[in-house]
Order: sequence, then structure tokens, then C-alpha cells
Amino acid sequence: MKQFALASTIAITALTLLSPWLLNGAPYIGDSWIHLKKAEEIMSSGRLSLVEYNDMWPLVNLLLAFYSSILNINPLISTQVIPFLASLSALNLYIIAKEVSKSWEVGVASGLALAFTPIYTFITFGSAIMKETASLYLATILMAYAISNRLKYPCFTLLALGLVLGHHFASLAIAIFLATLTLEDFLDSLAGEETEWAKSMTATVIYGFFASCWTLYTVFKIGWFAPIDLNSLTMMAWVWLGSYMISRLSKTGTLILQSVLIPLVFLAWRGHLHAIPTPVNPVSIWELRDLLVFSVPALLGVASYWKRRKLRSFLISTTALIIFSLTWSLDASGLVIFTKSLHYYAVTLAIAFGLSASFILKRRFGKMILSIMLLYLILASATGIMLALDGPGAYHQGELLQMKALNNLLTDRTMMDVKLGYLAEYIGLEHTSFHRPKLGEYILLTKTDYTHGVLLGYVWVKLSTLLPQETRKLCDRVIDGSYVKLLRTNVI
Amino acid sequence: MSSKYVLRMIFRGSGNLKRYLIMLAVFEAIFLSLTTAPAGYLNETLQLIPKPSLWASLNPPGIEVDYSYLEIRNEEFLIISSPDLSEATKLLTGRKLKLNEVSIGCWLRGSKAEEYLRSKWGHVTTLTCTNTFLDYSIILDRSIFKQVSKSSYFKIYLRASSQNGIAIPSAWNLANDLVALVRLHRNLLSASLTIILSIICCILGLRSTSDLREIIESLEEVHIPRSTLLLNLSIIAVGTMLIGVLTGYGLTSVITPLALIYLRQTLGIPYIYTAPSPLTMISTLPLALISLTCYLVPIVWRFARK
Repeated sequence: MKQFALASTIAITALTLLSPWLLNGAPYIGDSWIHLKKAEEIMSSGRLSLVEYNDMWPLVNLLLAFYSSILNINPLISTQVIPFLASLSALNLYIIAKEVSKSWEVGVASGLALAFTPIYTFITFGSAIMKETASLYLATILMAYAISNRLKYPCFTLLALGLVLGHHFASLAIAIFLATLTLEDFLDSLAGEETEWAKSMTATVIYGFFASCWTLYTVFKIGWFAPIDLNSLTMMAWVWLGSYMISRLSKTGTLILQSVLIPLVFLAWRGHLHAIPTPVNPVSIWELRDLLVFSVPALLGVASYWKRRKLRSFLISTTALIIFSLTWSLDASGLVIFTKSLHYYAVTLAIAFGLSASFILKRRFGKMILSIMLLYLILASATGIMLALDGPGAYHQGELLQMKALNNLLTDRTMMDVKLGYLAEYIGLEHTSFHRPKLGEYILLTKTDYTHGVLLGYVWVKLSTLLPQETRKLCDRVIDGSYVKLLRTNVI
Repeated sequence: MSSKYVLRMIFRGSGNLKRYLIMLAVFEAIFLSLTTAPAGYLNETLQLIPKPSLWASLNPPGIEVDYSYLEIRNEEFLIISSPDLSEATKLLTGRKLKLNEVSIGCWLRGSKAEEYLRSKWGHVTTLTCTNTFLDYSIILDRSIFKQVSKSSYFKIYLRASSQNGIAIPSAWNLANDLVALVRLHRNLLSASLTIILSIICCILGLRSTSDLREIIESLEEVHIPRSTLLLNLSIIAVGTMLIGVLTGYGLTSVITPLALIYLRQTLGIPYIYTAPSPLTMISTLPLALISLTCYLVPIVWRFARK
């Protein structure tokens, strides 16, 4: 039963994360095209260049090149290794939750809760081919390894090196986690408990050394990058100290903080907190219901296992990250940091949700209630997943083919949004970002520009804001593909 | 080795030192939240309000502006003039106005004042609206002004920037005054919080003595002298105080912005994050030192009495 449940969890998570590829036939999120191009360059030149931002954390590029070479598959197909590895994080969560609770059911519930959390649509992160996603598996395995009693320095060093080369924010998240774990171990040893704080401290020092060296090297190569600057790191240290104090002192304080934080995180994820131009629908009662089904058990999990320093370490480090992101800024740049922090906060909440399973299972019809809850989470997330599959971050095979075909026809610089811009960069199409069109200028629009809006970085705005309906009507429709439409302005 | 032993004993005791740390941290957080958030808000507001580009003073240098009041059928009207009227009005309104010997602000069109002036001097020019007090004033040529005011008038000097004098617009002044007011309240708050914290720490210190007696007894069994205990205790207490202050600062960094975000969401109050500067933390150290003294005094007193 245990093996079956675990295998099913991993299979469901993998299928969910691979769904953009399986249904749309193209990788998810624009970053995919950047890393695909980088991987192809590595394969063709046989060299790894460290020049710009997307080179400096080369794990994702190397993974794509490596799997494409050893499996002898098209690099485009090899992109799916990243979501697959991200889906294996469910296994790491299983290990973590089992380590904390000593119950396999808790592990399975945590794994599923990660993939189907109503706090956000996990596939928008897990299915993407990004540095962050490629690092998730390593980040979660490092967390699992650090709390296990079988920590061996050579293996830890190898994992730490991989993560440091994976992504700066993931490195930061794990650095905070390791520091918290060490402090927790030390304070508990002072209180007379048996802990391996010296081991945790050595691991933290090893990790800190690699992370600092690589960060300094990166700063030397490309300059400072958010949120790695002196001001932000100082601010983060204070927030961490505050979160630590609240979470360490009392269970009540921890629960109050989390109860305050979860609604804020939800509102921020739904776009109600940050000053962004994206049109936002009001939160529906059904969304609140989904949130309650997830957050109430998660709080119950926190309350039940608050005394375990391993859970507290997860809670304190990720809570500090998410509070930092909310206090850092509430504009579009703050949204970027918030989204990155949310990935790690969601991991903790998924573990906390899973931990509530041990409480539920002790009750009458516990197994049935837990199964219904998990099934409910899967079904509730299905709506979000379906929306994301056709959302502004989703690419379709048709889009790729039509853009490739255009590459041979278009010689002029074409105006397009960030989504198509990523793809254009990959296929080598000359392009400019959205601006007030000039006479005779080409504008390339894709299906999601009409259905959702024009993607501008992390936010999107209605197409009519940038290109009013009247202007569009007066444009020549040069190509009218099922996905991609090419317009030429003739009246301004 | 003995310090580690003492540290363990103290942390494993009934926790009065821990309670002292928590008390200090919580007080520090309350203090910083209460004192830095409102003042920070006002400081941020000051950043939003443009600094005045115009200052008024009773003394030169500057463009002289003369003003007085003209009574017309039991109603008083402000009359102004200047040796350099066009420059003065330009400074006041930001643009050049087409003035005549007798001009009135746009809000005086059709008023008793216009009727009176027209009957006396014939031609009266009505100015376009400027959204300043000039819209309600009568602007006169210097010779007419002296004649009307009967040489009983006030002088004021306008200049573009100054270290003294009254700044215009007044919103900036108001915000500045509010900052000063909040600073005064902060000082009062600081004094009252110091007194409360000192009393609490004194009580905690008194309570610690019973714990210490137990610790001394157990330390005597392992032949650690009482002086070593006192020295270690002082070091630990100072360390605890510093940790308390730092943690309080951390608590403020968590509680204040979250509370402000909630206020924005529920009451629509604009969110301006006002992180207290590290200097603020240093300025709270005297408060912490007083509390530490209050904590240690009863302990030392009990020891000395024995």
C-alpha cells in the first residue's frame, strides 16, 4: 500500500507537471527558450560561457545539454527533464514529512499537497524550464538530507555545489534554512536535548562558503542583482530574527503569525496586494473555500508538530522569506521576489498540511476524510491548472511552428510582447517590445494577447490598453494564423 | 568550561533570564513600532509633498510686497502692491500676469469691490484665475496703493528659498509640525515605557534570585565559586540584553509592515513601509541598559546582603 501510494503520488505529480508539454506540445514559461538556446550553444561549442545573468547559474543549461546528449534526444524534448525532476520533489517532501512524523501517510499527503496547493498553481513553477525549477529538486533534497541523521559531508558538499550553481534565490533559501536549523539544534542542546548541532553548523559553514564565493564571483562578473544587495540582506536578517522570535517562543504566536500570513500570501498571489497593471478578478467564495480546506489542516499540522525543531526550521526560514518579500516592495518588482519566496513557503505549508494527516488519521473515518481532502485538493487545483495551461505563460506547438515559419518571411523588426519575444529570441527573429506603433510597422500578436493580455515581464495588461480595437481594425492583417497573427499598421 | 555550565544551568532553570529576554524584545518591538511608524509615515509624506519654492519673511532680502485692507461698504478687501509688481505676482503664481493700474482677482468679478474701483478709477482689469489668494485680492499700482491705504500698510518680503521665514505651501509646514509633534510624543512615550520596563525588569530580577539560589547550590557541588557565577551571569545578562534589543528590532520589522499592509487592505490607509533605521536601534540602547541595571540590581543586592 505504502509503495503504491508513493508511486501514485510521484506519477500524479509528474503527469501534472508534464501536462503543458503533453497537452500543448511546447515547454512552459518564456524562460524555457532562453535556457534551450543556451543548452544548444553549449552542445554545439562544447564550452560553457559565463557572461550574463542567465549564464551565471548554469545548472539548468547543463542539465538540458547533458540529458539531450546522453539520451540522444532533441534538446526541445530534453527540456522536460526539468519538470520531471521538479516532480520528484514530492519524493523529497515525503522523506521530510516522514522524518518529522514517522508516518508514511503524512509523507504522501505532503507530496500531493505540494503539487495541488491552492496557495498557488504549482505547475506555473514546476512545469517551467527555469533556474528556479531546476534547483527545486536539489533544494528539497538538501532540506531532507540536512534534517536526516545520516549526513555525510562529501555528499552534502556535492549537493550544495549543485544548488549554488542552480539559482541564487534557492541558495539563499537553503542558507537561511541551514542557519535556522543550526540555531535550533544549538538552543535545544543547551536545553539538554540530544542534537547534532556541531554537524549542522559544519554543514552550514560549508554551504555558506560555497554560496558566498559563487555570489561574490557573480557580483564581480555581472554586478549586483535583486535581492542580493546589502540593504535587502540586512532587512532579511531582521525579518528572520523577528520570525524566529515569534515562531520559537510559543505555539500560539506561531499560529497567529501563520494565520495572518496565509491570507496575505493568497491575496498577493491573486494580484490584490501589489500595484500591478494586470486586470484582477475579485476572489470568489469558492477560492476561499479551497484556501480553507488547505490552510486549516496546515495550521493544525503546525500546531501538532510545533515542538519539532525540524518543522520549526522550515517554518521560520520560509516565513522569513515570504515576509521579506511582502515588506521589500509592493510594486511589480516586489511581485518577482514574492513569487520566488512563495515556492519555498508553499513547500513548508505542504509539509504542514501533510502533518495534519497524523491527527486526522487518529479520528474515526480518518482515512476516508484524508482521502476526500486530498481528492478535493486535486479537483480544486484542476481549474487553476486548466487556466494555466492556456494562460499567458503557456506556449503551444502551433505557436512555435508558426513563428518558425514567419522567421523565413519576416525581415523587418517586429513589435511583440514578452511572451513572443522569448520565442523570437530563440528562433532568431528581430523584435522590439510593445510601444506606440509607427506607420508601416509590423505587430505580431498571439492568441493569449487576445484572451488574457499582453505579457510585460511578470504582469500582463489588456491588449486594448496598448493597441486599441480601432487601431487594430485599421491594420492590415498580413498573416492570420490560428495562434499567431501578423498585423501591419497603415493608419495611426 | 564553567561559563558553558552556568549558561546551561540558567537556560534549564525556570527561565527568568529567558523571560527577561522576551520582555526586553517585546518592549523594544512595541517601542519601535509605536515611535517609528507614525514618524516614518509623516517623513514619507514630507517626501511626497513638494518642498515650498516660496518663502515669506518680514525682513529683506526679497521682493517687497505691501498689503493692507480696503473697506468698501462694511466689507474688507485685501489690497496688495509692490515696487516690482510683475515679479512679485510671478513669484506668487508661477506665471506672468497682465496687470493694469487697478486689477482684481477672478473671484471679485461683479463684486462690490469691482463696482467701487470702476467708479473711482474707470478701468479695472480682471485677472485670470490663479488658484492662489490673488483670486480674492485687489492688485494696485504703487501710487494708487499708497493713496488708498493712506500709508498704513504692512510689508513682507518674498524669496525663492530661505533658511528662515514662513514657507508656502502650508501643507509642507503642517507635515513638518506634525513630525515635530510626533517626536515630542515619542519622547514622552519613551520615558513612560522606560519606567514600566524598569519596574518589570526589577520584579524579574527579584524573582531570579530564588532560581539563583538553586543554581548556586548545584554549582557548589561542582566547586564553581560564587564570583564566577556572578561574572558569568553578568556576561550572560548583557548578552541577553543585546539579543533582546536586536530581536525587538526584528519583531518590529515583521509586525509593523504586516499590520500596515492589513490596514491598507481593510481601511484603505496607504501603505508606506517605514523600517526603523539601525540608528534608531542604537538610540534604544539606553532604555535597554536601564532595564538591565534594574534586572541586575536586586540580584547583586541579595548577594551582597548574604
